[in-house]
Amino acid sequence: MRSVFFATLLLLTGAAAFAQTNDPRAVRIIENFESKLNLDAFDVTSDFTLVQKKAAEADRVLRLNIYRRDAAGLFTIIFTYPDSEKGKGYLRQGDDLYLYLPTTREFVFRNRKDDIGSTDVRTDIFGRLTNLEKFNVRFEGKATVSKWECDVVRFDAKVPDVSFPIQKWYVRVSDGLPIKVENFSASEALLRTFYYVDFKQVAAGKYIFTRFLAVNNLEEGQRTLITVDNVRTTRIEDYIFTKAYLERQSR
Amino acid sequence: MGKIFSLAFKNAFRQKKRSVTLGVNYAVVTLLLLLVLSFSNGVRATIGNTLVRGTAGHLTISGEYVSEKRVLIGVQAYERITRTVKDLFPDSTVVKRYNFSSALYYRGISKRLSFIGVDAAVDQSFTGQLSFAAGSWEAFLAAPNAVIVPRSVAEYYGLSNGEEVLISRRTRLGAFNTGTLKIAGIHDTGNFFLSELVLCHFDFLQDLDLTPAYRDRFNAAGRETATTLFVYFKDPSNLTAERDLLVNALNARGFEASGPKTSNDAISAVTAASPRYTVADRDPNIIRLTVSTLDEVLGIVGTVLAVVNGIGIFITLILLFIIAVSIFINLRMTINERLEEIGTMRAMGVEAGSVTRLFILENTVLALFFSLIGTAVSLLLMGALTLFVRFPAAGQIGVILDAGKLVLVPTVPDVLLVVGLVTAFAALFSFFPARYGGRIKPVDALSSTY
Repeated sequence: MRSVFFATLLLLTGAAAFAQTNDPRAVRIIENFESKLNLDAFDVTSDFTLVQKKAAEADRVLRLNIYRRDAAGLFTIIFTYPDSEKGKGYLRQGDDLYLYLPTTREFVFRNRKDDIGSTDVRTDIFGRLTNLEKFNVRFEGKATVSKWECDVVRFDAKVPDVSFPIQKWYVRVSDGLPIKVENFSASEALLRTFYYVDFKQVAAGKYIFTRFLAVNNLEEGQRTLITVDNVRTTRIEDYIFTKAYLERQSR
Repeated sequence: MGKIFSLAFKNAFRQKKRSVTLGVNYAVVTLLLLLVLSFSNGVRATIGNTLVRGTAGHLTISGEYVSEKRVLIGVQAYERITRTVKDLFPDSTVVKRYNFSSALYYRGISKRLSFIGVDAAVDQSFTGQLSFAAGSWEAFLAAPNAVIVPRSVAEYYGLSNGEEVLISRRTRLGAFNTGTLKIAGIHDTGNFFLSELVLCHFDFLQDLDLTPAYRDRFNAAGRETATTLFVYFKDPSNLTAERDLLVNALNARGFEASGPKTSNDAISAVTAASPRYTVADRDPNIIRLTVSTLDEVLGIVGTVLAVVNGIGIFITLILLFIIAVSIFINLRMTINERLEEIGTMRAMGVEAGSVTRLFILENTVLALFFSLIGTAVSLLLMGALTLFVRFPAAGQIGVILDAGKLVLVPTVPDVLLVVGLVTAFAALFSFFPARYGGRIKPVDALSSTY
C-alpha cells in the first residue's frame, strides 16, 4: 500500500515538474523566431497605420511613428493622426512604459500590455520579444493555417502580470516565423487572435512584420489591422528615447 | 400681567383683516421651513437606507495591503477583522463584499457593468429589496455562478432568464480571466441605488479576480481578501464612538486602522474597487484599514442637503424680512388707530412698559396661532404629497425617492423649532414699534384724538 502511495506521489511530482518546465523542442522553435524578430543589431524606424473596425461603426484610423532599439529594450511611439490623438505617445524603457498625455502634459505609468489608442493591439507586440522569461512552453503538434504547415506551441504564464496567460503560437515550418497567435484567458476562453499576415526582411535573417491583424473574439466584428510602411534601419538619435522628446512633439 | 395676557389675546383678532394678512405670512414661513426640514430629513433617510442596503454599512471597513511589493486595494484578513468586530460588538452583523467593474459579453455584444459579490448565505441586505421580473432569489442562491441583472441590462443584451453570459476582466495582477455567469434573475427595482444592481456570489467574483493560480497568494488562510466589510448594528445611534473603539481594537491586533482622513477617503470606501495596484518600495506585511461611519460615507449627500437647506433658509430669510417690515408697518398703523385706547390706558395709570408688552403679546399670540395653522397645513400637504404624488423612480430625482414616492419626514423637534422661531421673530420685531406705542404720553395720545 505504501509503495503504491509513493509511486503515485512520484508520478504526480514528475507530472508537476514536467508541467512547469519547458519542452526543448518548443524552446528551439521560440528561440528561432525570436532571433529573427528581435532586431538587436540595429535601430528600426517605421510608420504604422492602425485601422480599427467595429460592427455598425465607421472605421477608426490611427497613425503612429515607431522608434525601436531592441538591444536596449527601448521604443518610442508617437501618434500623428488623427488630430485628437496627435502628440500622444508611449516611451518604453525596459519594463517601464509611460504614456504621455499632451492635454495634461503628464506622463502616466502604464502596464506594459496597454492597449494602443483603445484598439485590440497591445504595446507588447512592439519591441523585443522575451517570451521564455514569462512563459513555460510546450510543443503541441502540427496544424495547418491557411496553406502553411505550422508547429503549434502552447505558452503558459509563469509570471502573473501577462495579458494573456495562455497562448498558442502557430509557427510556419517553412521559415520559422509565427503567423498566428491565439490568446486565451486564465480559464482558457479565446479572447483575441493575432495574425502576422506579412513580414519584410530588413537584414540577413532579420524580419519585421508589415501587416498584422488583431481579431477580438468576444466582440463580434471587431478587429484592428496594422500596416507598416517606411521601415528604416538607420541609427536613431538617443534623445528620441527620452520623455523630453515626447513632450516636444506635442508643442 | 394676567390681565395684559387676556387683553392681548382678545386684541390679536380685533382687526381681522389686518391680523389675517400678517398671520398668512407667519403661516407661509412656517410651512416652507417645515417642508425644507422634512425634505432634508427624508433625503438623508432615503439615501442612508438605500446606501446601507446596497453599498455601505453602519460602519464600512475598506483598506489596502502590501503583497509582493504591490499595494493592492481591498481588505485582507477579513476573518480576523470579523472576529475583532464580533468580540467588541457581539450583537453586530458583519458582511463581506467583493466588487469590481468588468465587461459582460453575450452574442458579440459587450457592456461594462459594476458587479457586487455577496455572501448570500449570511448577507440578507438585498432580501426582499429586489422586485423580480423573472427568476428569483432562490434561483440565485442555488447556483454558484448565478447573476441577477437589472431589466435595462437584460434588454440591452436581449437576455432571458436562465441564459449564460461571459464575464471577462483583468485579474488583480493584469492577466485576463473569464467566467460563465448564469442569469438567475432579472429585477425591476424602483430604488435608485439598487436599480442598476448586478449581483453575483462573493466566491465567484473572488475566483475570477484572483484566478485559481494566484488565489492562494492573495487569499491564503489568515489573508482572506474582500473589497469591503460592512458592520451593522441594531442601534446605529452612536457610530462615531463605536468606530473609535473598533479602530483601537484593530490597531491592538496588528492592523493599521484609522478613520477616513478626508471626506473623499470616506466616499472612496464605498466607491473604490479598483483591482489595479501601485508598486511599493518595500514589502512590509501591512494591512491598512479605513473605518468610515455612515455619516462620513454620506458626506457628499450632506453637502447636497446643506445646499438644499441653504436655499430654503435663504428663501425663509427673505420671507422673514418681509414679515419684519409688515410687522413694523402693521403695528405702527395699529398704534396710530389705537391712540385713544393708549391715551386712556396711560391716563388710568398703566405704565409704558405694560403698553409695550401688550402690543408685543398681541403679535406673539398672532404668530403662535398662525404658525400652528402653518404647521397643520404643511403636515396635510406632506401627507398628500406622500400618498398621492408619484414620480418616475428611474428619473433624475430617483435618488431621493422611495419607489417613486417623495419621502418627507417631519419631526417633533423640527415643528417646535420652527413654531418657536417664527413666534420669537414676531416678538423681536414687534418690540420697536410697541416701545414707540408705550412711550406716547397720555396727553399727546388724547390730544391727537380729540
